[in-house]
Amino acid sequence: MGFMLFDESFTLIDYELFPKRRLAKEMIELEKQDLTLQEESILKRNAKNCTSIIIETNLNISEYKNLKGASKFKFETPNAAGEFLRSNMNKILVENEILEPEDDLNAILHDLSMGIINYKLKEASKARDSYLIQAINSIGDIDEATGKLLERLREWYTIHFPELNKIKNQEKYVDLVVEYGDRDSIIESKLLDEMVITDQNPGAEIEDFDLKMVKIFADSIKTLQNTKKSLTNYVEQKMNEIAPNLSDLVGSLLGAKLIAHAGSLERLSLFPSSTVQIMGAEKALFRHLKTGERPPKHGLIYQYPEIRSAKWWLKGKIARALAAKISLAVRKDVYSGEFDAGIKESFEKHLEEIKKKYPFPPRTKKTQKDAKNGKKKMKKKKKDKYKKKIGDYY
Amino acid sequence: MKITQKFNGVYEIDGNVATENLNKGIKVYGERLMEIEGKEYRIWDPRRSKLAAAILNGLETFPFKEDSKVLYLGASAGTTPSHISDISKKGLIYCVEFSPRMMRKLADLSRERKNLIPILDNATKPKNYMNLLQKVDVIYSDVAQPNQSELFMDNMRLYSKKDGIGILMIKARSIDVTKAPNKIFKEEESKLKTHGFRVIEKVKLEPYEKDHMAFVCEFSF
Ligand SMILES: C[S@@+](CC[C@H](N)C(=O)[O-])C[C@H]1O[C@@H](n2cnc3c(N)ncnc32)[C@H](O)[C@@H]1O
Repeated sequence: MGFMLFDESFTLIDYELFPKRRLAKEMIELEKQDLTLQEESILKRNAKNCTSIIIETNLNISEYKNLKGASKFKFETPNAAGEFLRSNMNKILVENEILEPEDDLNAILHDLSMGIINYKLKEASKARDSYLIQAINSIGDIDEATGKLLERLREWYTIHFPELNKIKNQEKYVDLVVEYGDRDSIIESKLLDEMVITDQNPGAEIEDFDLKMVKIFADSIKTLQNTKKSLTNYVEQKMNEIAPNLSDLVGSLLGAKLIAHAGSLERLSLFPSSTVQIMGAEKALFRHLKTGERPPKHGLIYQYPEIRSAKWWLKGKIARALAAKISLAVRKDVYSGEFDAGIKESFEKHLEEIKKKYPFPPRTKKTQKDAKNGKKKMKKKKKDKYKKKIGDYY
Repeated sequence: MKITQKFNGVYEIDGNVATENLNKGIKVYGERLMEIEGKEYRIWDPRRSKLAAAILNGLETFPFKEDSKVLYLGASAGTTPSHISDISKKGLIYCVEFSPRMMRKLADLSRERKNLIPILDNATKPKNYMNLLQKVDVIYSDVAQPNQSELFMDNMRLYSKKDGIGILMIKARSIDVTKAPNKIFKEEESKLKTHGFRVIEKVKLEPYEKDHMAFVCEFSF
């Protein structure tokens, strides 16, 4: 709460307190290994009158060496004065009128500790979110890299076994090459459909020397595929811990992408749902802001299966409904952390209602035709209608 | 329903131990609440809390008073601390826990219980939390770590009053899975003795916890 200077007989000679309102902040500074103004000033003020000052501190001793009177400082942690203070804290504070009689030390300590803990937990969740964000982003990187490498593998291995290209499943393709290698062994494995082998296009012979290299290459793709599985698993577990409600609603991967996009779970919780709806579609958003083209209807959340598979006239409606529920789920995750199965349930109900309410596409063709005469005017109007400021989104 | 007082603030109700709820109507970990003569009690689950297990197994030394200051190491989500908070209702319980995940729950609990002081820190580095602490009457340690005895003693030396009491929950399996638990308990006990502590009492926690022992200690001088 501050700094106290005692003499040999444990009489308080001087003290310097942190301002009450900034108490938690100052204590955090102190923990960060910074010399505070208060400590500096009490030392400076007393150095000349004392023959030596024994300092109890968690700071690095080098913090003190540039202070005036540093030659008189000794360091001992804990020291006798600290022990005395910790044994008689309430008494010392009351006797020296640092505490008013009506002040309650317990309550002060409690409030202080809550201030510190809130700050520390915030810092900890930033770090926690960062681990998640790195993991989800690396899944994207792996997808991109394996896509390229697979293309290369197919091009390479096709020289020897062109028919195998009929296997569309990438993992299976890689597995066959890694496990069995050449065409004859793959066919012998009996893992292929009859359909694949036609004998019309047998491909070139391959020497062991060449095959070995292809297999090593394929094996590294397999390693990446396995890494992706571990990452996916990891993200799932982390998401269940960090954001159970968001995970339940949109799945852990899409949920993690939203967090990554916002920068942290807490930031995501501060976005209005209109922003959530277009997150990941920033390009379209900027185009819209600049040219007045239609605003983007859906960004990342377009990956949500029910939106992807929805009829075109429903996509926007579902996206809006989902974005609203996402905001709700994320806020729940940030502020209570309790899992609430009701969020997903109520969204699913809403989804059914939307589908029931709009079974057919709106009849736009006719209206468009009618408006054709005044087209130019309309366009202008439309632009204005859509013209919004970026502040409406972020 | 028969209710008797077992220790200060600890009651026995139909073979269960219980504490009087400081925060009426609110459960902490799904425990049972009971209303008797206008007072609300929280049934203290010995399978969730080693201190309750020790009490049921005959613990005799019970150092928690109404205004005790306590240092609790390994407070987790606050299951046991919540009961101590019921007991030492005018005291202060410093709760050290280093896992942010657990601390989030503990911080929520502390918001409602003003005698809890949550500290997110590592109990193997007791000097870290020197700025917040006072000397305490009781140190309770339940960290389930290989160096649990050492960390307990370090905290005792730094923060216990001279006549303070220490309660150390030893989990044999977190010290060495290959050794017989009894051998580990002996070794830990002699560690305490050679480092200036006297073991007042030992209580096994079976059947509630396997291979656990509660040690109650004080300075031997
Ligand atoms: C067995 S649990 C404690 C359960 C708790 N005593 C109760 O009954 O409610 C052990 C806890 O100690 C914490 N822990 C382990 N080592 C620690 C350390 N060095 N510093 C602080 N906490 C630690 C763990 O994170 C875990 O939450």
